[in-house]
Amino acid sequence: MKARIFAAALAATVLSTLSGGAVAQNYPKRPVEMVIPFGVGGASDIFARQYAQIVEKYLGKPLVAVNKGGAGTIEGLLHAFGAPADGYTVLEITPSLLIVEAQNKSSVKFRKEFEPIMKVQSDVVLFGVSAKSNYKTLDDLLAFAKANPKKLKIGGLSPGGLDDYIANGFARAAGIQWTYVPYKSGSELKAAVLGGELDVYQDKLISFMSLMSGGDVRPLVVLNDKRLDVPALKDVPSSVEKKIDFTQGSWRGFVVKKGTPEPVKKILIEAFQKAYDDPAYKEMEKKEMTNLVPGYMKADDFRKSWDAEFEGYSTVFKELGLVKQK
Amino acid sequence: MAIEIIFNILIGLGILFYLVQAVQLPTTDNPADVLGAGGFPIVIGIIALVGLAMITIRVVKEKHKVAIPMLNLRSIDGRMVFINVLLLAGYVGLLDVIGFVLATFAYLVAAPLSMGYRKPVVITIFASVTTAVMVIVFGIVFYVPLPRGVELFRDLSYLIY
Amino acid sequence: MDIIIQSLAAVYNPMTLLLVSIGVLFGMVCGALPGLSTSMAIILLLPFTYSMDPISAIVLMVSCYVGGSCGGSISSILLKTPGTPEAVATTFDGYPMAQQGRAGEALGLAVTASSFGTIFSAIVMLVASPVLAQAALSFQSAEYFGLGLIGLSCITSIGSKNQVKAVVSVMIGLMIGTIGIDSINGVERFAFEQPSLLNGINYISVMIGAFAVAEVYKNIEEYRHVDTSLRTEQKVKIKLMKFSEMARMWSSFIRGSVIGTIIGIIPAAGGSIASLIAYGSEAQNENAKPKFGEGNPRGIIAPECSHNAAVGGSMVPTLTLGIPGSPVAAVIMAAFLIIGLTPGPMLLREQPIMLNAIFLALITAALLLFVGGRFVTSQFGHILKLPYPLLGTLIITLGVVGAYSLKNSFYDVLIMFVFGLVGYFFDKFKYSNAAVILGLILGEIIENSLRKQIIIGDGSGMGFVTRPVSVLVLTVAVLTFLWPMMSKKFRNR
Repeated sequence: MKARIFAAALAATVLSTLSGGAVAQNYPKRPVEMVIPFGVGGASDIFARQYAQIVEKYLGKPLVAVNKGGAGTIEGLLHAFGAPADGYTVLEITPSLLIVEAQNKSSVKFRKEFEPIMKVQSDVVLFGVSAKSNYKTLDDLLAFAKANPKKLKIGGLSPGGLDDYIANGFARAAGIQWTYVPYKSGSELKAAVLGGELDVYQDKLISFMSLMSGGDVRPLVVLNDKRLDVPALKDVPSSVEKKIDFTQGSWRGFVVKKGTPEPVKKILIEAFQKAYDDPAYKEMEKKEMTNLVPGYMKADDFRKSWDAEFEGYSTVFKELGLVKQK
Repeated sequence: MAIEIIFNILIGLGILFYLVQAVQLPTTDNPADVLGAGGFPIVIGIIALVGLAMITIRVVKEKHKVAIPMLNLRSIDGRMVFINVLLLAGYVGLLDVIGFVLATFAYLVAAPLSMGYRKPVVITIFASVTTAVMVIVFGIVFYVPLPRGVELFRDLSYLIY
Repeated sequence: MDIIIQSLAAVYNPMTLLLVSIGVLFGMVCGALPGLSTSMAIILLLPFTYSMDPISAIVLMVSCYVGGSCGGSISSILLKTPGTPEAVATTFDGYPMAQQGRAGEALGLAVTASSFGTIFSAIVMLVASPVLAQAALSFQSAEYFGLGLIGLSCITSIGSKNQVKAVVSVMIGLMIGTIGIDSINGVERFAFEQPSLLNGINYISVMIGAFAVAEVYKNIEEYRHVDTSLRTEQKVKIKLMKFSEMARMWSSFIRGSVIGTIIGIIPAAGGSIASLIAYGSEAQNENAKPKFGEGNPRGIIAPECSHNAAVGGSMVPTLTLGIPGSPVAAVIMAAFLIIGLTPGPMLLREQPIMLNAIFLALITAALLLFVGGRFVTSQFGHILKLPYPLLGTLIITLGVVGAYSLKNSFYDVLIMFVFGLVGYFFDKFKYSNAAVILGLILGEIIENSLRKQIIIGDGSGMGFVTRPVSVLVLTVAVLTFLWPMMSKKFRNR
């Protein structure tokens, strides 16, 4: 009995310190959870973990990475939604979360329930072919695709994900048709390209470079509005220059649950901003080559960009029949 | 024998349900995907059903007896297992309500008791040490975000991990 | 010559040796704890590598990989709870052996075999990397399909007494494997709008349920009548077999290592599939004594050699092509990028020491497995002295935490609970839980690559018979299915 009274008293004190008007003043009192809606070891996971380490310096408390990779980001989304809106839970986001909403897959509507902190970086996507392939330029490839609809095979990760959108969105903008074949992991995909099973290879810049530097892959086009400022890629045309208006890439940013107290949000935004300006981040960005296309966006602009992208996803996935009817 | 037939019927119903679902899966828009989402499930479902029928025929012929203590609540052993299944269900159910520490501690105390182990001092030490080690190893050293429970329990858990 | 001296100096200095030891030990502890995978262990080490020079960082991670691959077997053998996906096959014979009071022997075999497999694959990696990596590229969807079938052919052996029940069990495993988002066209299958089911059912949580939890239920019924302890005197101690005894089983060591190295080199198929196939190749021998599944030492040697040989094997395409050979190698490759190295042909030209350093780290780590293994098992030894009501409770609690830690997901705990009951009844009615797991693990590879190959062939399956490697692999698959029957015929003659 005594123990119970003690526990109740203890709980009461804890509660009174945690809630109340003084939230912002002593925020953060304990480590902040950084929810990563992907499994361990992927590019987005490693980015978030590295960034969290820099933010820590400015926030004063550790950011603890929590991987909730289930159900194609839905589990992470639900987890962050289920936590209180007190600023102790930050969610990493990529286009995948918008795609999940565009496909109507989750009961929690992402854009309605979360507020942006900032967008940190963009990752540009390239298309290429195996070095042994007969297609020397993008025009070769497009000419063949026009003459033989659906004959070319392009790979990607996960059906109905970002890669699927990029493959089909590009084809739509270029007026061609090809077949998208989903693979389970990046390594299977790369092996399929080098082994000749796939005709077209798409990947994000840094992992594209790792295959290209060995001379195994020939780059054909950069999905961007101009050429990239990298010596190895200076001869590779951009999609816009080729009159194909499609520049979707991946990006990474952070959000908190709607209803997080303004002062708390301000502290978070400040810390994330300082981390962005930190030389350690600049170094990291350079190594991972995510500094070539502008990615950084302040909270307000970030919020606006969601709606525009959402429209794009909605259109393409409706055409593909991947939007779930409720 | 009766139990085994009931068991087989349950599995059979499960497989039938699976097959019904598989047949209803939408065909794909990709004409090259000949099998589609449903093709493979239908094949394995049918093989499973045929195999199950063969097994059931053999069971009926051979009339083996299988003892399942869990379903025989009159024996002490049966009751023990049954109670333990319930305890585990309770443990799992409470994890997300009262949080990892309390649920684990409660389970660690209750389960040995239900197995007829009556040494309160040993059990208390065992339960406390195990809970502490689990929280330290998984929760603190390896950063596993252990369940915290709801409301009051959630806030309490922040004091520990 | 210079390069050799440089690499020796890079690895054999006190600091690096310390890193190797830390890596092995940390990997082993993570591996032995259910739910914490080798990938997780490496991710946790990652922040410490930012300030190291590239060679030290890679050495640390590679030794952690070696330790993690071996560590999972300890809990497989002692608790029937595989600590990592790689250790699944080790439970089949390891746990029965431990029940017969030969836990120390089983552990000794596991560590020796892991060590042997690592060294074997390290040598292959050093000698033949570029050639093998190119050869690995002839492995495409059609060949993966054949590989999956070879894996499935184990059921004719591990299904033990009742073949029909084993087949039904495998089909049930395959059926469970189809739950979730279809990986070809994104349709939700058998998920009933449950987010918990969308990503499919994790086989480790099924395995913890059907193996560990079901075993505890069974022991609760029996512990008052029969002795369920592991019958070890005081402590579980690694007992190394005499060299002559091991030499008798040399063929299992070699088979396991070769299979593991090959499957490691093939992109995207790692230690878990390697160990299953190696187990299957051993278990073909039906009149082995003791029977497979009842504590045959070869049933431990082959999978253990195999999953650790996959460590060295998977480094081959990672280093030479920039294509990771296993899920863990993918994490190591991500770490390469963070350090600022680009894996691929250029790497070996720019960093000539790298390959040698990794080779030396693998060998050193392999030898340190004996030390690490001794330490970790002695910790487990304390636990095993508990009276059964406490031990059983502890195993279940460990299972709950383990299932939860896989993806920090409560759903996995539910799945574990459900399969604890399912496994219990399967056991009683002599269905095969091992076959269910086998189907669950291999189902995805089989269906996925079958359909992918058909798509690549524009709707035709001709690719399976026109590709030479595919024909070879499929023939092996068919032979392994039929072998048990054929060998019976020969004997009867």
